[in-house]
Amino acid sequence: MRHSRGFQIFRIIFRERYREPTLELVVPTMLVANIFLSAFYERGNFSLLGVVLGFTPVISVSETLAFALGLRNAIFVTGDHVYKGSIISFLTMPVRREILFVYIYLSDVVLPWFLWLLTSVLYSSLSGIAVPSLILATFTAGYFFSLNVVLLLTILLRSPGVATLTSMFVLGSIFVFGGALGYYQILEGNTSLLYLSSFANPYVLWIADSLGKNLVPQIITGIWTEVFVAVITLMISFTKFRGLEP
Amino acid sequence: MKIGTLLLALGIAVLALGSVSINAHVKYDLTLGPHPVNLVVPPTATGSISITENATNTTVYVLITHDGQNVVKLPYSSALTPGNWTIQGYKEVVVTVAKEVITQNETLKCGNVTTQRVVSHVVQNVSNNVTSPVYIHVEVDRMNLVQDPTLVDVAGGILTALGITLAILENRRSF
Repeated sequence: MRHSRGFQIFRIIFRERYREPTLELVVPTMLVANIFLSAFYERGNFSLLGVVLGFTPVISVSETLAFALGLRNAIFVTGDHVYKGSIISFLTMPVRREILFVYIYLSDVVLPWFLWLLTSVLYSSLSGIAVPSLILATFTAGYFFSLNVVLLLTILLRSPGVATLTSMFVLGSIFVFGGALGYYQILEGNTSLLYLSSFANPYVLWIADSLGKNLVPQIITGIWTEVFVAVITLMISFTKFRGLEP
Repeated sequence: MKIGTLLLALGIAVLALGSVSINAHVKYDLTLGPHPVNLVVPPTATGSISITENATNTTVYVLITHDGQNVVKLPYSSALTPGNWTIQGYKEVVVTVAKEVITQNETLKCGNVTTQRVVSHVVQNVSNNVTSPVYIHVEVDRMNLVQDPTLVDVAGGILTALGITLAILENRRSF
């Protein structure tokens, strides 16, 4: 069976990232880890709070796994190629650089997100626990925001170790201090400033929302801010990738 | 790309989802306040719900919206059937016609005259606060992981068998 040249190159890139036991370990774990949705929903008085807790990163295993997989792909596969210079052999493949970037981005960043979305929606429909689509949109925007930042740092810094430390420091401080700031503003009752800070950690707002405050407009603003930053960082890393090893 | 081992791993995971359930006995009490209590019970949960009042010499009615509205007298208990449960204090509306005597001054040509008039108007009394404490007691005996365990088990078994077959075939071809 002969495939087109583009598909063959995509297959090389895909097989490098998802070598034998990667998908076999990740996909079933993601699917089974969603049982925490049932457990939290049962303990959370059958209310929105349980669903929100089940979909908070670091608490949710499948979200953490998707993020870790994307981080590993971006830093330790693509970033390693950029560091060692073996990216040149990919750049000399008979395909345009723009298309090559799309292939790398699809298999690095989009595929773990897609696996997460697939397993979450599958488990949600199997168990009959309705998940609001805004929660899925929150994680989607946050995932692309953070992984595009990681990809940009990887291409800019060109060293896996430095990129790991910098991205962990940047993303960790955004998430932790943004969460603390959001929590402080909620305690103060200052909901108008939350429009500015909700992009850093919308999950604090989600928890407050499920406990009885209406913070949905702030969450939506945060999601749009994240999407905006994600698109900007993606465009910068695209132009940097095009100018790589001229 | 070998798809056999992936199918095998997925099949074992799906089989596990169908055959395992959360058996921990979970119970909690909620207190009914001015806001309605909303429970969205998934079809995987089995348990019971009971609503009781604290005082013994009063009669409290509660409005339960689940498969249609009904007003129940407390104490109330039922199986926790799946669906949307909204529990709120029953709003009793009493309409009374109140008569009121209004005294008003009128300025006429011949001087000021005080007249009295009887005006009747409608007063609506809405009792939307539950005056004695109402407790909602929810007990969940068992929580399945999926809605239809047998179907999921069958799907997992098929996936596992298919995965084993494909894995053997693929490995044989590569030898």
